[in-house]
Amino acid sequence: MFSSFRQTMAWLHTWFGLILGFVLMVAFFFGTLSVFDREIDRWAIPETRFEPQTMPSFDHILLPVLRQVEPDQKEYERQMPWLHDFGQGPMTPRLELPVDEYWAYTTHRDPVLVMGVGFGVPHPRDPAAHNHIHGDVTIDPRSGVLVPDDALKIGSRWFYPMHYSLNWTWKYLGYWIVGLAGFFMLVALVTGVIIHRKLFREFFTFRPGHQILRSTLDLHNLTGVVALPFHFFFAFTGLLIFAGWLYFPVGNTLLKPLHDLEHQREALEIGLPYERSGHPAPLASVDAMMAEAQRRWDARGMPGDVGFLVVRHVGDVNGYVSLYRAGSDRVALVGEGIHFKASTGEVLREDPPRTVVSEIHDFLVGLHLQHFEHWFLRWLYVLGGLLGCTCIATGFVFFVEKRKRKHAEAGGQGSRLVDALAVTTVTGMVIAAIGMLVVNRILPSDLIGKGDWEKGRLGTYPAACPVAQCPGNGGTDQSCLEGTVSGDRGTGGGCSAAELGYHRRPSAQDRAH
Amino acid sequence: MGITVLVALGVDFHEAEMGMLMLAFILFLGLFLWAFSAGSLKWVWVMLVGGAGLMTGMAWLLQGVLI
Repeated sequence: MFSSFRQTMAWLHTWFGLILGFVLMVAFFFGTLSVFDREIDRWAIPETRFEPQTMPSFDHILLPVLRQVEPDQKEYERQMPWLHDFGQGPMTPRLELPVDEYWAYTTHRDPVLVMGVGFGVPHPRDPAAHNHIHGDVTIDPRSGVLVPDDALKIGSRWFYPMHYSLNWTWKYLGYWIVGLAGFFMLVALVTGVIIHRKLFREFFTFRPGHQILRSTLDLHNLTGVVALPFHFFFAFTGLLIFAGWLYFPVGNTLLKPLHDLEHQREALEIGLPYERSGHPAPLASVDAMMAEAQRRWDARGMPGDVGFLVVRHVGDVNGYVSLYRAGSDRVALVGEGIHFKASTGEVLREDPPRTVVSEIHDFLVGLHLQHFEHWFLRWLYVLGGLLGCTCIATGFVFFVEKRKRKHAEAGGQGSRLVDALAVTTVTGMVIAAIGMLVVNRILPSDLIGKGDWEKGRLGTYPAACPVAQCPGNGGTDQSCLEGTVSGDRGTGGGCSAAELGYHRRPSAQDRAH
Repeated sequence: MGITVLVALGVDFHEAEMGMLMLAFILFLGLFLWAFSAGSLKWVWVMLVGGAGLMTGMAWLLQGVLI
């Protein structure tokens, strides 16, 4: 492609970094915010600002609430026609769906408790599929009182999914775009190392007094090198988290027969009932099972609380309760699961020790998802994320500064376009995030559908973003006109059209060139 | 192919999958960089398309033997 290997790498670094840099900026910025997603939730829902709780009594607090949960109306309308086999008769009415599963999940940073019910589909189209219509609720674990579910958990339900899916779930398109950007992050890091070479020197080089091009490149290199392992690790593990089920789902495609065979073998080996028997049975005390699980974890030298519990095949003789340990005292996401027979409380199985491959995988994924309790390390994550944002932003600045004069002389619009998009993405995204938090405090807490209001307004916040400065092209500081913003959500996409329109107008300086 | 080979050697399917996925991204990264720096476009096609086809075919055949 080019005469030298380094030139090829430089081309890759520049152009792929530029194209995917906008997505990476979103992923880095919202990933940084996600380090404190649960704390941001507390900002958004003030009534949940109390100390995190351990898993409360299932028998006395959770079960009475779970028995009141109904299948979600929207999910029923959306999913039921797909899951139900019309050859066996009409769809079962929503409120007559049988309960099949209970679950509850809590973390050391989350005062509220999320839990839900999986309702079975009596006549499924594919009996082997996950035939559930869900009903999820959030409660105050101290009392069992429901927390309104239309109040948006801005941190964990908006900023966090923005980090890995751009909140664009249609056909998983957002996941794919972020995944592609994550891979090109790896490419950009490796090519960056190849083209710069003098890593150690660049670690200590920043010349703010020099011309902007030099200073920007110094800052780009410095931020890239300082957090190089952090950036590489997070891009890599981010890909790994979604690899098995989305990016390379070989177990569900080409190798599905082998995968299914393995599942059957596992089911026999594990001994946990795969399906309902059809014979009813009562539910024994889950609190007693929790106490037994804690005793067993203690005996293994890892005392801890229950973080996640699932009751499968509810009300059936094949029902069983799986209890997983809250793993906030270690990096790897491990549950040390213990499974009980639901009707008697008898221990059916304890998950065996993990293999070396599992340990490595769980450690890598756990380090990315940072469920552990280590506040200093969390702040280091924030620092690493912000360094990543700085690295990408200075990459944009360097791209523009290097080319703007040449483009202006040639009458090209390339650097203006990049400048406008970069300013819109970077500042628009920050303004959008802050605006969302501010609007959350302004809107009355009892406003019906408050969460939808907050989400719906996100696209309008970037209207306040400043227009990119292009001194070489004669640009000046101006604000976008709010009325020209057309995006309904996202990270400033609606603003870019307005900005580009502005930038396309030739200035006096342009005409002079 | 890596997964089926490992399963054939007695490794648990999910273990093999996890291990190969971790390896895959490093391998793809190397291949991606090589594809842009390779001297011959024909050779790139042979390696990428040919390699992918060959490995997919072998995985499929080996799976047929295993189940």
